Amino acid sequence: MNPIKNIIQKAALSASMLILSGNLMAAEAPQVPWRNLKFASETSTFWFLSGLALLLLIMIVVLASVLKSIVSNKDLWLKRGAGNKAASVILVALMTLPATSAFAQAASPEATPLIVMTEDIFWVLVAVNFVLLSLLFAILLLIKNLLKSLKAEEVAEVVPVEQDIWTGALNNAVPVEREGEIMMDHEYDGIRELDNNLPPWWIWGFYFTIAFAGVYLTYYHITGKGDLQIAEYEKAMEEGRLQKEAFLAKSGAKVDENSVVVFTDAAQLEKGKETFKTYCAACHGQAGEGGVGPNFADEYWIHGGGIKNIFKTVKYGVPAKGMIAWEAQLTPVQIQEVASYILTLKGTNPANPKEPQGDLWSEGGVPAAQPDSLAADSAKAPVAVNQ
Amino acid sequence: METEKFSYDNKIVKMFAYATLLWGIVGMTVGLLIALQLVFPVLNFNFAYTTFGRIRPLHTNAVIFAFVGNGIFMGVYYSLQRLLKARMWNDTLSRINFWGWQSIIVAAALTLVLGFTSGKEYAELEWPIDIAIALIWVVFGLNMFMTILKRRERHLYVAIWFYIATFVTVAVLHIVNSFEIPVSLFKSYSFYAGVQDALVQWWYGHNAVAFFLTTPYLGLMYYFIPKIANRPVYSYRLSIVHFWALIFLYIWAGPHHLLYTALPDWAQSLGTVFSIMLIAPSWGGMINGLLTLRGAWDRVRENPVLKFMVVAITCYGMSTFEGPMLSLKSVNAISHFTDWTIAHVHIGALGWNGLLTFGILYYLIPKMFNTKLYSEKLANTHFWLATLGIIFYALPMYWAGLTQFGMWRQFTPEGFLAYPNFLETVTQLKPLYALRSFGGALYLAGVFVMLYNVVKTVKAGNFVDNEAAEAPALSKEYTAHAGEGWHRWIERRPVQMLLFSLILISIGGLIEIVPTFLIKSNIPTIASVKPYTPLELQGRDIYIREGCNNCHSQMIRPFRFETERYGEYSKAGEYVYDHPFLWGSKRTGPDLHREGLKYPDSWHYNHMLDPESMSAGTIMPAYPWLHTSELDTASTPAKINAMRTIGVPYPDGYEKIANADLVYQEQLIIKNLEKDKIQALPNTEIIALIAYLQRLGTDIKADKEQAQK
Repeated sequence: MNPIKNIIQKAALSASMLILSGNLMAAEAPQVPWRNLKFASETSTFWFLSGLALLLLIMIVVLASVLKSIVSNKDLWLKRGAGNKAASVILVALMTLPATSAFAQAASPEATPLIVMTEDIFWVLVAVNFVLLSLLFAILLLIKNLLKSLKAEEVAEVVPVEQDIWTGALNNAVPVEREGEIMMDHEYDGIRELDNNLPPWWIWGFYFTIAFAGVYLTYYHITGKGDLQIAEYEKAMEEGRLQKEAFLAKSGAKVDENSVVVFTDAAQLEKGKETFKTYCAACHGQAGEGGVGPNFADEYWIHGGGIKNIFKTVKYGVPAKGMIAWEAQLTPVQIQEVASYILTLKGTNPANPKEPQGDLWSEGGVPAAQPDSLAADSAKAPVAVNQ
Repeated sequence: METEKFSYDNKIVKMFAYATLLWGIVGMTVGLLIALQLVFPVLNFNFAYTTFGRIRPLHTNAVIFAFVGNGIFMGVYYSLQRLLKARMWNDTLSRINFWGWQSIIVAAALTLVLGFTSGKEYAELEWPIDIAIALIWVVFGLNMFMTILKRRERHLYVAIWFYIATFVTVAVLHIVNSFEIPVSLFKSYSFYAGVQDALVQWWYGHNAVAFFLTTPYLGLMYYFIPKIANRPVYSYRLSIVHFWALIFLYIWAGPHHLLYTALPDWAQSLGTVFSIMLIAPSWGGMINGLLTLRGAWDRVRENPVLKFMVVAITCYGMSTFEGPMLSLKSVNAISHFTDWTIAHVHIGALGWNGLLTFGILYYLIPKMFNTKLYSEKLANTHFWLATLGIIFYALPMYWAGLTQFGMWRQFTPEGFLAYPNFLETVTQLKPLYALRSFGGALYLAGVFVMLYNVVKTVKAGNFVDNEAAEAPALSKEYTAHAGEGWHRWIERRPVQMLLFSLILISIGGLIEIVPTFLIKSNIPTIASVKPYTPLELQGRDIYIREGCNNCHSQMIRPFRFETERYGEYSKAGEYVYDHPFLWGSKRTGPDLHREGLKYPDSWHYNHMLDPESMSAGTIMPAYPWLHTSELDTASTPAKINAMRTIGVPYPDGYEKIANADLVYQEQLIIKNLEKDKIQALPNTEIIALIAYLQRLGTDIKADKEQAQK
């Protein structure tokens, strides 16, 4: 009897058996008490995906039995001899797969009725479908190749050639020694072409990337499950804010313009000096004599003197006049240090002093005029800088 | 059938080969210079024509369009004639192609150095040169196509499919991206603005890589590898699948250059997924190249030409895998704006294009001069210099990219940037830049070794201008073989192949670009964003002329570590009057999109005069000529008119009073500078540049203040 006919008959038989059992399973499913399915679309998505998975599963089992009958047909293999070792390895591996997927079936949603449709289930279903689909294609390919080799055998006796695993199984290539069989009949300036098969790993890789594209676009743009860039950004900002708060609360470094006091400790003033040299000296001069920015060694202040005002000016800046809001770069304690250091500059008489600007400030007293000018500035400043 | 006698035009191939060598050396030498400038800023020579911003485009253009461009023509003119069994259709057209292309290169080199630039990466050349490029490209295409039509070979070999796709796609890309409105002979504004300009530009930029650096070279690979190795091509059917898949998918991938920018999310995602799908079609070429060498690996060990080819294809495989990985959002966040991208493109340029070109030259020169290569040993030396050069180039750049990104994103527990001073993240990289320069020097040294070898070979050889050949004429009738593949049909129909390629490559571009023009929601407008003032517009043109965008981006991505450093992330609506867009692609200096009002006018004045005085240790060159050169206010009306033509809402007649506004704003800045004891010369370029820098990214603040009230 023709072995291929035999195989097809068996396949038909097992297929009908399976469709029957599939119907039984499907009949069971509608009785499941689904709750929390608010939208019709969600329900139909679920049924569509489950149904698809089931269908795929059935097809896989059918095809697996076809494979099984090919493999178990001793006559075929005896005749073929020890030809394609690599193929048999893959075959054995694949034979075990239907068994695994049978287990998967037991665990998959359609067999466990008390699950509520959630986002997770949606993705599990998508993944299950993807795996099943891949499996299906793999089996189809295998069958196609097996049948092809069987047919070829009927026509002509094949001379077995030792294939190394790389050219054989991996690339599905015809060995160099036999390349004459697949040499194309054309020639260009002496260049000939072989007609090797597409390497299976390549074509599967291609399919995989196409599937990836589908899943990616679905994830971000159809289901909207993935965070697009602005949502991602907002989460990162919130996370950063929480981290910062937690740290400040823990370290007790919470100083602000209301609670700030002057440091007199030499070590802390030295730190303040470091900060000054690094960040402030470019505009206010190495010795605080002023430059682009005002002089610190005199008794005049544009936005108010004293530790509290200086702290505030450094923290929020005066963006309109080019003074940066330093709270984005200096910790509250660092601002406290540098403000304390600036206070020590008074009366140091540095070289090349800039002319006094602002109003005369006396410690403990009231600034000569405009007590609210800074308040107005600083109230605006964080808006402009932090947004 | 009667055999016809004819000859191959070898002379044109020789001319292109020499040009390839010459421009290769020029382009790479400039590359080495700009690499060294990043380590030793003094090499900018305080001279306008040699600053990084002007000669970096010179390097990229010279290497891509002069070196690789001539390499393409060399390879195509040689292989096409032989694959078709026909001489080039018209020798005059061949010569026009050659001399036209060389003139364009010379014009490009001069204008770029002089500061005539459109500001669009890899498309910097101004409009008269753009037109010349289009014309010469058509001359090339016409000559090629007519040769194809009068061929003596029935079917087109795979190399020619790639040549056809290259021709048609480069033409489309160049023409669409070069839509610009001329202001004067050497000044134009891009027709597109902001986000649209960015999208069109990177559709072009990415596919310049695809269809100028990749597909023609794949064609060359398909001819030269089987010829040199004397082996049949591994798989005809792989050629078919990967060719069509490649040209169809490549065109979609452009937006992956704009991930996390103001480009609409959907376009970004398309860029990502199509890049991922490109892996297999790209690798199809690699497989067909490498597996064609099956059975010839013993020769690869001995033959330096094959060695070049193998490493070239390997580099191709690496960079076409790396590219799609860089298109994933999370990876792109790292590579974009850092030296990772620089490493990536140089694997492609030095490895794939460079080594393949060298291999072809080593094969062609002895062959056309009917002699043997002067020294195989020197060729081997070149091979090792080139390979080591690539390694010494790429590894430090990968390291630099990761280092800089690591420093950018680092926060202290207090919630501050760990490296708030951008400069720190640059000076950290200096040793790596030095190592990279060493790698580049090795690679260039190798080219000089080749030059010597080629000169010696040429001297020993005997060149024949017209190589005799014979082949039977093509019969009118064709009967298909039994079992002939369906694809053979199109292989005998070059016109259909051209049209089908054109259709395939148009789909992706149309789907991605057209909606950004037609659908408003893609670029939400912001009421407070206004056109630039005349002074700012002039300043912007100076910014473009000096090539500031080569080192400074204007695109703050929505990352915490970017908004903390630069300010609010950039919005699509902020760029609606930006002809051209200036988002940049590499941050050698900090982003400038929110630079406006961050520092006083005097800071900018001093900084441009002597950057060291404002930020010690900077590698930015000085721009002292801006402080003395007079601003060309005569061009203001023409600029206003041009901008209005492409949709910037300057009122009618504004061009007449624009210069009055310009002077008024100038005076404000000059007074501001006086307050800081700076006596600026009136009507100088620096004032305009300061005006532009102080405007950058500030419009949106007005919107915020409006909202507060």
